Amino acid sequence: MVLPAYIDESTGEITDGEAWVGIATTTLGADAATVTFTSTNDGQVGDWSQYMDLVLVTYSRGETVGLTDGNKVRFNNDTTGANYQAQRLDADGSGAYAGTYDTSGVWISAPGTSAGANEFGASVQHIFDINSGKYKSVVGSEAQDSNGDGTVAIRATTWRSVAAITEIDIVAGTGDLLAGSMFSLFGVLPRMVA
Amino acid sequence: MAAIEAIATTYLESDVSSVTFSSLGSYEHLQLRITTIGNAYNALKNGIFYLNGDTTDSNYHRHYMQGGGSTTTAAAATGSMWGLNSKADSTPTYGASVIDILDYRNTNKNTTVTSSFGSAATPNSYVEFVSCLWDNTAAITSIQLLSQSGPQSYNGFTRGSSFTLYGLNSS
Repeated sequence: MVLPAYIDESTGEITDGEAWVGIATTTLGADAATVTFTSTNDGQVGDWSQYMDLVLVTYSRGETVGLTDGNKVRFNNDTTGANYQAQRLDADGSGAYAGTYDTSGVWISAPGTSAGANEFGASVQHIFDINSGKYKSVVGSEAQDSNGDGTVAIRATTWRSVAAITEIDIVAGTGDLLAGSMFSLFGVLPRMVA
Repeated sequence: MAAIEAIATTYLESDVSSVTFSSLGSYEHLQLRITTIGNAYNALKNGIFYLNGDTTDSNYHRHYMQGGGSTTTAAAATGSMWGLNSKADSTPTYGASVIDILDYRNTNKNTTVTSSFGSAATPNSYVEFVSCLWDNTAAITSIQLLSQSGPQSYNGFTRGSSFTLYGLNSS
């Protein structure tokens, strides 16, 4: 097997101590229904089995009519609404609100079609212990600001599955993710020491 | 030097009373990434930390904003704080935290620690953002983590909890 570039083939030593590894970035040149990241399962940078956590950075906009589109992040093609249990804390400029809900993916608020031109919503999603036999925990923060409208939020989502995460799909609440939307995926390495 | 290096991962194969990191390296900042279930059967989802072995709770001060179910809370209190899950939940969900400790080697600044936490569990779900001040200018040389089961009552963590410490550099 060809080793990743950060491992010395002759010694097996890790030559680059970078704990956050850039896996892939997708920037949409045209509207798209889904953005998919898949583990390569080949021992290279794109093989998620080596990572402790994943971090997904989104800067996106969706086709839902209105100010807000609920982007969703799904794992391993699981679209079952009851499998994603969530807690939110958000604020819209008038007050702060909290609530629990089940949803069909990790929810990220992003601008919809009524938001101003060229406005995108920013979020960082921390996906923890992706190769464990635990239910998977996701903690994310997001900002969707439309110059007079918008929200900020922090959310926790439990994906009720003990499977290792090998695929991530991002979809819009309705229709497509819009051109210009950008998604970056990072792997976070552990360091097992005695 | 890498911008972010993993210093050490502790992955619990059995319950422990606390977790301590005492080799912190020479970085600009530190980050802890944690998934935990605290070793107590109550709904309280607080963890605490002690820096440099300072176990005097009144030396730590916190502000936090929290969403728990449909309730929003913003408050200040004495003592350190970060989030975790407890055994009171019926679903085996590990609470997840990202804790940032900035400029931890500076001896002219009191240390401010921020943490983001989330746990969507049944029946006790929370998300929160916490700021903690340690009223001391000493460089940080150790971090001890515990769970909390009540006022002045501290416990450890259950099997399967994971703790990884990272060092951050700008160059």
